[in-house]
Amino acid sequence: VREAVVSTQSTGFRVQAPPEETSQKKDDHSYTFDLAVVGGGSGGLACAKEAAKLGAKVCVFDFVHPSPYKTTWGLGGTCLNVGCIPKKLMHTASIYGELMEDAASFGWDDAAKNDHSWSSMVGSVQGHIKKQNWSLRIDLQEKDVTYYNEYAAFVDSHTLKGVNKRGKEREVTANKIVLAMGGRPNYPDIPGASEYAITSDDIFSLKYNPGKTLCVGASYISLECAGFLHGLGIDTTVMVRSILLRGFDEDCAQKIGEYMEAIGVKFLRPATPTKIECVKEAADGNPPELKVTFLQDGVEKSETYNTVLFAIGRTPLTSKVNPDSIGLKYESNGKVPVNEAEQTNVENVYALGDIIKAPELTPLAIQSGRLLARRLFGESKLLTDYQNVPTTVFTPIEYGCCGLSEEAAIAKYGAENIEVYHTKHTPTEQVVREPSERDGFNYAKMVCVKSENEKVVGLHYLGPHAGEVIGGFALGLTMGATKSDFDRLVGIHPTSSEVFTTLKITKSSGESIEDEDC
Amino acid sequence: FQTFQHYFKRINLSMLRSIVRPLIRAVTPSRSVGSVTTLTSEEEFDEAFHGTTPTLVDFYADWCGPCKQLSPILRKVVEAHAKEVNMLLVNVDEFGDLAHEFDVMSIPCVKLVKEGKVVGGFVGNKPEEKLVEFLDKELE
Repeated sequence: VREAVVSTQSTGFRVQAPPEETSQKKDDHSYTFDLAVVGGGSGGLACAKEAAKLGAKVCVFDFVHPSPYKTTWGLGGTCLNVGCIPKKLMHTASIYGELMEDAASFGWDDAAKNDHSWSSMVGSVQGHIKKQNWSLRIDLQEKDVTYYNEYAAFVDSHTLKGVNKRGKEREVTANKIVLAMGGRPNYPDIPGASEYAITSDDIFSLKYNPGKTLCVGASYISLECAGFLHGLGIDTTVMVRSILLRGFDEDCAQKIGEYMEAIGVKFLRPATPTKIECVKEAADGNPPELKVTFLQDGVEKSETYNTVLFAIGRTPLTSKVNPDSIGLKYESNGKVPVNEAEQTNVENVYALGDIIKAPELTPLAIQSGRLLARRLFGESKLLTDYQNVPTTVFTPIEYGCCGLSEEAAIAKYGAENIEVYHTKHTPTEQVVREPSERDGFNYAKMVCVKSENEKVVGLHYLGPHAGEVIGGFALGLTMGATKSDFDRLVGIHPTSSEVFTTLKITKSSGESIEDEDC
Repeated sequence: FQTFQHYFKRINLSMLRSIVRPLIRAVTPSRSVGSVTTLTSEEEFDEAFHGTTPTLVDFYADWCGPCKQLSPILRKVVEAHAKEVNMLLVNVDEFGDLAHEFDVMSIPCVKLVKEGKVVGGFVGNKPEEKLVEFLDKELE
């Protein structure tokens, strides 16, 4: 705990004791810090705090360059500020709308769906985020981690230079350096993109209702944003170049697209935007009018939207950290190759989180950050397991999965060696609601390897509470569960998760999976 | 007499007040009331910190419930206090560095500053009587 600032000097009151003069270093080296972390997001903070807990002298550099739309945010990284957290909150907001519609069938006669207040929702979401920004900062102070709100880059492999928002520079030396800067959204190289369009960096704090929106991209970011915008009553279109959710199970990705179309999200595919022009500027709290020119099936078309959101990919901030000055190896897309211990080709420099080739997920970054700290400053030898990391896509119909997609399993084990069990299902919560276009999409799939006793290598679930359903089952996959292990498990009734304990129809049998009554 | 009676009937209480009050004000020395402002720049803070008039710095945030309760009551106490004291509201989301400088670990956090020194303060919401007590003691 720092002493209270009491200054008798007439020139300024900033009496911050430089870290050189305080606390012991952990290892025998001449650098100021045992560990310097570049990036105060999920991975970076977890690593820094764990290292400090183990007695290391740690500093964290975190700085957000404003987006082209001029959005910026505080400590905590992508997940807290412009990712998982606001996404899940806005997805939840849109689900409330859906539930209010279904409430009438449960006797809530007056449950009319009111108009949604965008600014009210953004206020609540941002209030939570700012509270967390503050807590994280205090947490670092309490754990004796020095925090520099500065953009850091390498001077040499043990020296970082930080620049604050006023351009003031500071050099810091460290024994070990961990890179965890994450990435930022890409803009396409077309006229008007960075001048008029926004990205996920901006949508979660947008000061006005976005109005008629075009989401460009087939990523989960594009579909999740389009999903909640539509759910909040906003006219939403998704523009896609080819397939949806590349890399995910194709079956499930297809069903997500069909569901979104069924509930009224418009799709333009295959199509690519070629130009964005501003027809009318934003004014008085209203969004602008943007004319988007695009190519669809070789034909040039145009349409007017109030908001264009690009979600066409993200690039790690590797190039910004002056990697060439230390000979850091990195790929053209910015990804930094690391060994199983997150070590780069530079001996004392490590990398984790979104900048490495691994699932870009907060819990994975946190796990790898903590284990790395324990290996560097503790006695641990435990490596992070990058296999069987579960995840969930929070589209209007949620998709939870763990392990391999059906295609990946076939590629790895051969089609004859794969058995796929699957079924449709109807959660009990949905049985009384009025029949609608939303029906018939809930689905569960288990991918098994025949030659290994029907070991389960992939689990897929489409339906409500997908994250809650899949999260626990991921343990089964990491422990090598087989189909019969799942069959021997007694499920909880009536829930959605129990569907994985009673799968009997295989894809190979060709039998119908239309829902039976309970 | 009749003219006097005519005008006398028209003299009522509010008329009397509007004559008497300015008279009293003119003969009473004016009590200097402290200003209450929300910080907009670090330079503004420097001025207040080094000034001769004591300033009550109220560190708050929009998402902080107890802050929303404390600030208006603190304002009322400052404005009503016999001794001159200014109040400066500092939003910790906007001025995180400042909050860090002054070791603000939880909010609401109030620091009394004067002539480049922190001379007192407290953390957390307090009832009005305690705020008055605090100011009375510190401004002695």
